[in-house]
Amino acid sequence: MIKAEGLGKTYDGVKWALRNVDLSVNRGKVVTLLGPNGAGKTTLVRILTTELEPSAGKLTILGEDALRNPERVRPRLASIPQEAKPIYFVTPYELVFSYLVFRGFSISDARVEARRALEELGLWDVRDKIMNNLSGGYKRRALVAMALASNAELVFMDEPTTGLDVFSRRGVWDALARLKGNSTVILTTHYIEEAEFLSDEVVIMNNGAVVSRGTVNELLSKINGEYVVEVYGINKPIFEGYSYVKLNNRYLVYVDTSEDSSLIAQECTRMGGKALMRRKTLEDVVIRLIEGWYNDESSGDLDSD
Amino acid sequence: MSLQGIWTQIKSVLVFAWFYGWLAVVREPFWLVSSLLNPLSIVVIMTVFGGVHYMSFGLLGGLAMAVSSSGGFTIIGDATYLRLELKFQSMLINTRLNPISYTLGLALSELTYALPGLAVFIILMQLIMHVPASLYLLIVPILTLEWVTASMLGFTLSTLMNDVRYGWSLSGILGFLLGTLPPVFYPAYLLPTPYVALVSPVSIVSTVLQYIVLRVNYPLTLIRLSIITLLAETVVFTILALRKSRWRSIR
Repeated sequence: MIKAEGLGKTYDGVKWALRNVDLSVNRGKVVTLLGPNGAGKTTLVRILTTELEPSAGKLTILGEDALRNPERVRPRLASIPQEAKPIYFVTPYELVFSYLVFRGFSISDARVEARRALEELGLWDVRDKIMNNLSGGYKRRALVAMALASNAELVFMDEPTTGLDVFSRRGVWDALARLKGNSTVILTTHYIEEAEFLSDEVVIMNNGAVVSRGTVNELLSKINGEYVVEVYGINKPIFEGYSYVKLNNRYLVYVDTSEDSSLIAQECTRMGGKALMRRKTLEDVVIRLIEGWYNDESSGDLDSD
Repeated sequence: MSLQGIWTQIKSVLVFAWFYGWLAVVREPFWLVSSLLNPLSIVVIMTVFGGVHYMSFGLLGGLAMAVSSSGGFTIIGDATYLRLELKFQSMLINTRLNPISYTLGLALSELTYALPGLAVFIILMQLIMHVPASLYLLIVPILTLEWVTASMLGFTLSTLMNDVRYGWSLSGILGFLLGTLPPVFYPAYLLPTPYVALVSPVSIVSTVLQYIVLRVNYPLTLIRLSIITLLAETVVFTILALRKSRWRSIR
């Protein structure tokens, strides 16, 4: 579905916003790009949607050379960019209907599909309200409805839930889950639980490069321990022998058992610090891989790639 | 392109005009009124100081300015807004709408938005100047050329904007430089040479309208040059806009 080899992007010929990215995505999967701000996720998405021309590399999408023949690829994709907003004086129905006509749907098909998508996303009751009078969650879901109604083979969603409350985010998750299977979805997000909940594969990026990739379980297995103790308020590490990462003025200690995590927490409390114990999540993998990548001197043993 | 493909593009242009033009007219009437105020206020001042005679010049100038400003130059702000603020253009890249249809759709939506204002000017012209219906056979094609020129120039300039605020500002500045300063609201013969009217497509149209409707005694060479210049500008700005209206971004 997507095959990218050595993709790179530089704007000034010196600094590379994207460096030597290889990516292979199979049909019907949800692939999430994770990474901090400036990691290169949006640049990669803009190249994959054919909006931005790469400085280096090859790109095949849906069997077509997307760099030479982008016009053959474009109608088969749908893209909701980061910070996209709906036009404020139209209604959700008008937005989705018009988008479908622009995608080549007949007027009657556009009406039917717009209704279907709005009903699926719980927007049918507000179909005639103008966007200005709707909450941020409804606006964002209206944009997702465009992608849902499009029947595109490949859908790109760049941070679709940023700024939404917990309820609206779950509404968008449901919509993305519905897309799964019919379409391949490339998602970028800062929300780890979103990536864990939706992804078949996660690609972790930092500084324009791919740091690691795999299923959620594969990535979780790349770092030691089952539990993490977040320790702060102490100056000296008290966890010699454990893997840890120093993140600003706190330590993330990776341990195998809940007993170990309790021991560290108790010791930390005794020394006047504070500790938070929890199970390991994808967030810890991201922190470990990215911080370990750049701040090796402040990290314990790194057992990942 | 197949017939089906051409129909898809035409349909998309019309839906774009409905979506971004007509719905705005219906739901945002305050903007419409405010966009009319500039040309109307000039007409009022001219009438107060010059009487009904200058009101006729003012109405023709107002019509020409409304076509270029509301119908054309505002495309700078709107195209920049859709591209940078709403990321709407980025969403449309992955549709069947091609860049040319996007440009035309946007231009048509601006014209749709300006139509009620143009109607006000035409009604006032009929009430005050009693323009014969047959003259509209000349007036409409000239205004159409002006609309295309202003829209295409506007779209080309919008592709150079990297901040939405600059887009809105530039449309206002262009409206003044091309739609108010040159002989748009006043006769070109008041200037040392009437050929100054050739500097702007808006003053060209206004001068030709004055020649046709008010029978102002301009040299025939000026009128011929005006038509030729307007045609040339239409072609040049259209080519420029179509070259600029590519989907692929370099930044």
